[in-house]
Amino acid sequence: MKIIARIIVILIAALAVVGATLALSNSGALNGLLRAGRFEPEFAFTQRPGGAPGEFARSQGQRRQFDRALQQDREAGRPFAFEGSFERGRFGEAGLGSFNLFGAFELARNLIIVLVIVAITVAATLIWQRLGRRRVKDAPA
Amino acid sequence: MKTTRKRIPKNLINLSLDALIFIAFLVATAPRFTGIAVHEWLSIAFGAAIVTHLLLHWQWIIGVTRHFFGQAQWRARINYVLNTLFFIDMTIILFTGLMISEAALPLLGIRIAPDRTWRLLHGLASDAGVFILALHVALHWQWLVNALKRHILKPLFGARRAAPTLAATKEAHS
Repeated sequence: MKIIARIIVILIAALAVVGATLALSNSGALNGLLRAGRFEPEFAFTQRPGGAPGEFARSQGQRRQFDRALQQDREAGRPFAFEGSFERGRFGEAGLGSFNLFGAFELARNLIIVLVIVAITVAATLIWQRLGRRRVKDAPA
Repeated sequence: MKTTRKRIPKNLINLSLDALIFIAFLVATAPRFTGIAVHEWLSIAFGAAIVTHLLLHWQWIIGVTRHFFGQAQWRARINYVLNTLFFIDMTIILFTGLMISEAALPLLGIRIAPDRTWRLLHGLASDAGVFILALHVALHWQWLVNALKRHILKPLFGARRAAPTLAATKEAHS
């Protein structure tokens, strides 16, 4: 019973996060944040004042084309691989469903990032602790 | 006759689960490595593993929540803030992952209209997750090293070291 209550608390906390994300998305703030952070490079220039109207139209067209292609691929049960979109090559030419050896590099890259951050943080913590001990020793009694 | 069952140490359970979660996270963050179907199902299972992880550390969560503004140590406070961020990040990763699902949800007959915002947020949250995971591991480094020594290295190499000594004593007795 206790465990079920705890699981419910965890799920409620997760739901709160989901709710906040959905609220941000529906208010348009999420799109604004993502674009302001330039995480969407091919559409980012459309936000600039004085952007060329033709460029804007092309971006909107690309967007519609992207969504249409994704929808068609989904309906046909095909893995998504839309040429010319920013998602091109995201899961490799072989498509989404297959194993790709290049993914091993992705895995190794993430592992290296984790190891480097761990090494830096642990080293910094050790140095900080030693300095703290030295300060205590040097302090006049 | 009364049989006594040997209890598995709590630290060993934590260590095993944490190792599994760590490996699962690394594999899940490389969808090209596994393919999209494995990526999605593994991530859903990963969500269940996180809930288990939180249940195993429930006393710590309650303790620090109660004393966050009072007696709690700075290390515990930093850990708590980082863990909260990690929870929020993981929830966003799982939620956005479900919103852009191309294998798991369609298999269950659920189809959601494609939206690039979820895709972008999913990628961004996953990248942030790698960094937060690294900091999470770094903050628990001392515990990790001690647990590895006690439950993995000592039983393995301690036994190997003890074996020749036992053999030598047997020879000496004979």
